[in-house]
Parts: sequence; structure tokens; C-alpha cells
Amino acid sequence: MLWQVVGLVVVAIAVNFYVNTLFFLDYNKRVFNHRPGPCRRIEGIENGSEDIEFVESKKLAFITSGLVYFPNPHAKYDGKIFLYDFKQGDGKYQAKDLKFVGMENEDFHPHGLSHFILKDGTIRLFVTSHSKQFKHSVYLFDFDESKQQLKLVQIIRDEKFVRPNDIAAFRGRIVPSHYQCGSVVKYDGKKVEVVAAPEASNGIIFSRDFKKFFVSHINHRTVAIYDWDQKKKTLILQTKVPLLTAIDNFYIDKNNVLWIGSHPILKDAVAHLDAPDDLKFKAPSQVLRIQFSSDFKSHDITEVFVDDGNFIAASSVAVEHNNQLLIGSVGRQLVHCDIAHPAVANSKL
Amino acid sequence: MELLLAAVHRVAFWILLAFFASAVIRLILMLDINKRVYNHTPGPCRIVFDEDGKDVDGSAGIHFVRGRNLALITYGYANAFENGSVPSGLASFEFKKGEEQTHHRLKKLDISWNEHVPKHFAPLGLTAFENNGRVLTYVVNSHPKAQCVHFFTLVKSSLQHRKALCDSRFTSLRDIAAVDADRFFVTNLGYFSQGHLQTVELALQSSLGLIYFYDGRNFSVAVSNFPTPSALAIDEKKRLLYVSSLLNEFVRVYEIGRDNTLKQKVDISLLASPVGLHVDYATGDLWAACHPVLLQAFIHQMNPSDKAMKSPSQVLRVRIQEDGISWVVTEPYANDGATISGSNAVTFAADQMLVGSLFERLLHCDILNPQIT
Repeated sequence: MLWQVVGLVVVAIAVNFYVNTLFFLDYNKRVFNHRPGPCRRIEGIENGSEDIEFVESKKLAFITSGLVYFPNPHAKYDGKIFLYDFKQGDGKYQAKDLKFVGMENEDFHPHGLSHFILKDGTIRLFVTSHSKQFKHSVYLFDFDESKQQLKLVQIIRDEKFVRPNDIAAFRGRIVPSHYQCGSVVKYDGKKVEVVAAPEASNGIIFSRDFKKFFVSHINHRTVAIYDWDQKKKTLILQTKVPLLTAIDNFYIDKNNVLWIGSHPILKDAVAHLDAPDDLKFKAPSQVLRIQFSSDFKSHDITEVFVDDGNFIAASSVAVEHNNQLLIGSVGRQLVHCDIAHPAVANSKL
Repeated sequence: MELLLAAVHRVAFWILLAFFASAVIRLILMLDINKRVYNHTPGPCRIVFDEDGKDVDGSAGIHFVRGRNLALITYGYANAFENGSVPSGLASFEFKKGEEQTHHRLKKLDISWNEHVPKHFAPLGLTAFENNGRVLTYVVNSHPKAQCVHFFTLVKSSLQHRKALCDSRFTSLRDIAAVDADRFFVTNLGYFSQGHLQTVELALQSSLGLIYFYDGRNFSVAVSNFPTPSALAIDEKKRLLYVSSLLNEFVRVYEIGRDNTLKQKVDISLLASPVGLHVDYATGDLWAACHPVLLQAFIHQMNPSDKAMKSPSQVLRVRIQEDGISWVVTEPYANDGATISGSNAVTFAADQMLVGSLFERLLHCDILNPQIT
């Protein structure tokens, strides 16, 4: 009798673990393609467009490419930063591969991206990067608009940068997030401090008024919204939004609407990210749009774009401007879509 | 001998335990607990009100009558679940173009009953066959006490009731599709009638569903042991019958022979529970209304009058390639239930889409980019 009870308990634990694993990996999910309007791939970007940073005052988007997601000594692609100009004429969809100044011997594979505009109008970029040996750094670049190149300003390395993922700039300071042993740390130019509770963190971004801070907790499928104390530089958790999808990077538009690149089926994303060069592995892409109430207590979610991976694999970020949508992926294509009608991207019915 | 019996008991215990664990796992996966939909539309949408400007009491079945450019809609399916009664019957929606469409209303059809008005009328699936200018309409009554197929003829803006066929074998009729005048297929979801026994049957994911064929005189079993057949649709050009499985989440394609026998061709897996099917005559595309989260659909169905019990809605479109064995699935519409709850039927015509729900609203959408949406 005792053995039967023990057996029942063991079986119950095994069933629970099995079901939880199936749910975590999204085994019973699939995606169904839909687009907000006509879409096309941007030529010249084939090894990823993991993060996009949109500089609204100049209508420019910076795109990181060539990510090394796991230690990959044999990676055949270079790390790059592309520039997409939203002011391009109708029918033009080109991304420019920017030259670097001062990066001769760097093993550079950029990941997360953020920007700050200096007093003289220069765009300063903050970039998290991993080398092929998987060393982690934060690079600071100034963008020379006339020469269309990026000048290296500073490289920051710290033992608390444990596999940094994304980065958010606050008045020239940086707040990189970490995926492994997840946390959010802040760096004020002198020291590094942990400012958010340990939980795997992916994309991070400030609200436009720098009062809120958004963190994607990818393993729990939630977006956490923090109050940002601008004087003490600390985060206070306000609310969590469960999304039931693996959230990657964020973009905040001028109406404080949150745009999210996510991975709706985690098992496919894991298989794809383990071998991004192998075209046999595809992972679905998803773009969500979340509009919060002013007190952030309620929200409306719209799914603007979904693809099964054939057109764009493993989307990680989406930026909207003027009814144009730029969708980046972890290791593959960059896609541009037209939003054919406001109702398509802001569903009330 | 006692040792042998003890060993047999122990083995039997573990086998039963394994079966039970397997059933529990399959049940948990079936309920879609970790799924949700995120709202999106293929273009501007609006609620379709009735002539009095009110929401309809359900729109669970929709059939597009191509020759008349209108859709027939059943309402009042909630009668199948509660002792109270809601108005039930059929309505029509005429497809128009441009601005004229955005304020168009649903027109409830007058019914001239052949005998008395039936006491329990919970119309669900329906179909129509256009024959020499007449529109022969067949409606499934899903009320557990009056499982019948009703025959109507559409005359201008009213319905003439011809007869009702009931059979003791009917336990859970769902949908119907006509291949000729007074020749149709009808689905029976499971062995048990609506109630606790049916819930247990569905939880165990049995395969006791049936598809009956009516040849003008008798009902015969066209397909036996189909797992929970829910919806039917016919591709007239290719002579194909599509049958969806509610719980196994696929659509099975049959070839309709000259004598109306069915030959199985292929299964289209959806991983969403299909409850309404429509074939677009022009393109051959298959449209499916689905319940993306089955647990919420079940709770919603058990509480038809509780407006707070929302269930997500989803519309899928399957574009079958020329080879007939590969397809692309897109999702033109999805909603978390706030706008339309428990989608149960869909039709598409003139770049417009109608989505019907189990107990509530009818939704009309423009489709801006039919090729990609």
C-alpha cells in the first residue's frame, strides 16, 4: 500500500513535470500567418537584425547584425550596424552598412542597442556585444552623419556584465539587462549596481518621459513595468503583464505605445538560435502592440504581424513609424511592412 | 495462486495508472491552457445589428447563398443549453459594396411553419442548395430534446417550412452540407447527448462521432468513428467534402463520389478547434471559425447568458495549393472575446467577411489585402 502511494506521487510529479515542459516549450502551439499590409525583405541583411534603435528626431534607425548568441568560435559572419533611413522615397527600402572608426582589432558581434543625443546634436549609440569567445562588452559610438560612419568612443567591461542582452540609455548612462542569472544593472560611469530582482531579462526600454521602465521576463512570458526613480536611479516594480509568448525586444513610440518582437513557439526558437546559419531550422515571428492606460493598470494588445518563419525567422524587435513597420530578427532577415489601415494595427473590433 | 493474483493486480494497477496519466496529459493539452489570441483584424470591422439596432441573440450558423449574394444566419442556439428561451430563427444579410455596407442590418426572416411552431428550436448549422431558382434551406436543430433537420424554402424574404426529420439515432447534431436537392451530409458530434456523459466522452477524446448522409428518403452512416465531427463544407467545383474535428483539431478532406460515397484524401492539421467551415467558390479557399482556447469555449458554452464568460474568437483561412496535398494557413482575424465571443461560423464574399458567434454578436469586416491577410 505504501509503495502504491509512493508510486502515485512519483507518477503525479512526472506528469506535472512533463506537462509543464510541454507548455514551456509551446509544443501544442502553432502560428497562423498574417500581415498588416504588403511586406518585403530588406536586401543585404542576412545574418540578423536583432535590435533596432529608432532616432525619431532624424527618422533614422540603427540595426545590429551578426549576433553571436552562444559561444561560436567558428562564426563566419561579421558584426555590423546598419542604418535604415525612414525618409527614403517611396518604393525604396535600403539599409546601409556603416563603417567603423577605431575598431580595427575588435571581435565585435552587437546585440542590444540604445541611443542618446549629445548637447551638440551628435547621436551616441550604446551597444552590448559578445565576442566569438563570448566575452561581453558595452561599446559607445558616436554617429558621424556627414560621413555616415560610427566612431568608437569607449569600451566598458565589468564583471557584473554577465551575458548582457539589451541596453537602455538614460541621460548618457546605461542600463544593460542580463539574460543569464537574469538581472538589470545600471552603470553610471563609475560603478555597476544591480537594480532589478533576479529573473531572466531580455529587452528593456524607458518610457518616453523616463518615468517608466519596461523589462521583458522571457521565461515567465511577462512584461514587467517599473517606476524609475530618476534621482536615486532605482526601479520599483509596478505591475506585470502576462503575454504567454516569449518576449524579446521593445520599442516605445511617441504615444508611449509598446511594440514587441517575440517568439510565440519557444521550442522552434531554441532550435533555430542554436544554429542560426542552418536554414533547415526556422522559428515563428510575432509583433505585438500594447497600448497602456495612463495609469498602466489596463492595456490593449494587438498582434500586428505573425509569420511561421519562412519569410522572417525569430523576430526580436519591431519599430513603427508613419504606418511603416520595421521588423528585425535574431539571426536572419530584416522586414519592412506597410500598415494598410489604422484598424489593422490597433484593433478595437 | 495468490502470488499470481497479486502480481496480476500489481500489473493491472500500473497499466491503469499509465492510461489515467496519459488521459490526464491529453486532456490538459486539449484544454489550451497556455494559449491565447492577440487581437487583430484584416481591415475595418463593425458589429452587425438587427433591424431594431440591437445585437442578435447569437449567430452560430452562417451559409452564403451565392445566387442571391446573401448570407443566411441562424440565431437562438442558446436554447439548447438553458431552460429559458431566447428568440430563435433565421436571418439574412445581404452583401453590398462601399459605404452602403457599413450601416447594413440583419433582416430576421419570417417563418411559415408547416405544422405548429416547434417547442424547442435551437438552430445551429445550416446549408442551402440553389435549385431551379429556389433556395432549399436545411437547418440543424441542436436542442437535445428535438434533434432534427428542418427543411425550408427561401421565398423572397421569408422561409416556408417543408418538414422536419428526426431520428432516435441523433444525439448531438452539429452541421449540415447539401450536395443536391434533398441530399445532404450531417454531423453527429459524439455518442452521448448534451450533458455530463457527453462531457466525459469529450474529455476522453473518443472517436464515436458519425457523419450521416440523407439520400432523399433515409439516413445512412457515411463515416463512422470520426473524432468529434463539428463542421461541414462542400467545394462544389472539386466535389470535395471538408469535415472538421473539434477536439483533434484537424479538417479531413473527402472526395465525393458519383453515388455520394466518401473517399478520404488528406487531413489538414490546425491546432485550433474548428467549429465552422466555409469554402470560397471563386478561389477554393477553406475558411474556418475556431475556438483557440478550448477551456474558455467550454465554460462559455455552459453559461450562454453570462456575458462576462467570454471566449476568444479566431478565423483561419486555408489556401490549398494546386497539388491538393499542401496548403498555407493564415489567420485573418483573432479577438480575445471582448468584441466577438466564441466564434462559431464564418463566410467570405466580395472581399468581406462575416463572423458569427455562439450566442452573441455578428461581426462584419472588410478585407483590405485578400492575398496576404
